[in-house]
Amino acid sequence: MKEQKFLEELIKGKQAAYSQLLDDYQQKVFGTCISFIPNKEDAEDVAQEVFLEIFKSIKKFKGDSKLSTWIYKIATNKCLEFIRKKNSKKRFAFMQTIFGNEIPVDKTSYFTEVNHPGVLLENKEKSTIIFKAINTLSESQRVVFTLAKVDGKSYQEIVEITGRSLSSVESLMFRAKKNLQEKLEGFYKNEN
Amino acid sequence: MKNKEYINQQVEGTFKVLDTIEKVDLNHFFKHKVLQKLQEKEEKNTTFSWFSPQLQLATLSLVVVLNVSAILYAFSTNNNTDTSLEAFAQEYSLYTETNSILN
Repeated sequence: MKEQKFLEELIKGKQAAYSQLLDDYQQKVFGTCISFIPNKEDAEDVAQEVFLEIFKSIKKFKGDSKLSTWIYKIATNKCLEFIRKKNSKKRFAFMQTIFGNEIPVDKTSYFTEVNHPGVLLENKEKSTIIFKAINTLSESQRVVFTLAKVDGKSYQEIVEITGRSLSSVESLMFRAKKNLQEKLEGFYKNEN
Repeated sequence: MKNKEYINQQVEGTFKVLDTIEKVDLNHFFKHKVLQKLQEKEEKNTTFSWFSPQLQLATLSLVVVLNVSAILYAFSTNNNTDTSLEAFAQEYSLYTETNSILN
């Protein structure tokens, strides 16, 4: 009931409602963004876009799902869109060959610029490797793995955000882990 | 060639990095920035909000009609200018039938 009233105020464009929504979700949305985009400035830019999109299309929100789920869905889509754009720009400048069992240690991926302030200094190298490896997964596997393992969302939340069944999410998670394991093994095998 | 144990250790260590990522706090001015951008967008929208698509079409049609009528008017007045010039020349005896002084 309370959420319904809040929604109505958002639809009406009430400044107080916008402010409340930002207070409630800014940190959460940013958390999701930085899980996908390990760079503070870029993650903040994308989070801003997420909120502008929310305010623009709040009228289209029919209440089929929870408001939070709808917001996370927008955030996930915006992050994927951003990564796609960045990767296509980098791929254009593709110069080096990919060696070994994937995980190109080259400049072809956006994740060569991992600058996550939450990563401890001693883990910086390893975090770059894992983020690069995650980026080589298929989009569906990447979304499920990132939301679960980086953003710390529960399977139930992922089910709601992705609109997939629980078994599908579990299967994607299993395959993502397996693929990552193989990629990382290949990388460390060929490491100098 | 690295031994399997070393590789497994490294892989495990790499996965564990994800559990050690600390929470990153958002810039304090984030909310302010978003609200400001939103306001800018709204102002942009309200400036031209009265100029609805129907009105845009009507304006375009009016401009086209004005242009066409101006062109038509210009062509039709061209002939009139010639005749009025001739009349003016005749009235003040400026008009001669002969064009050459040799005739």
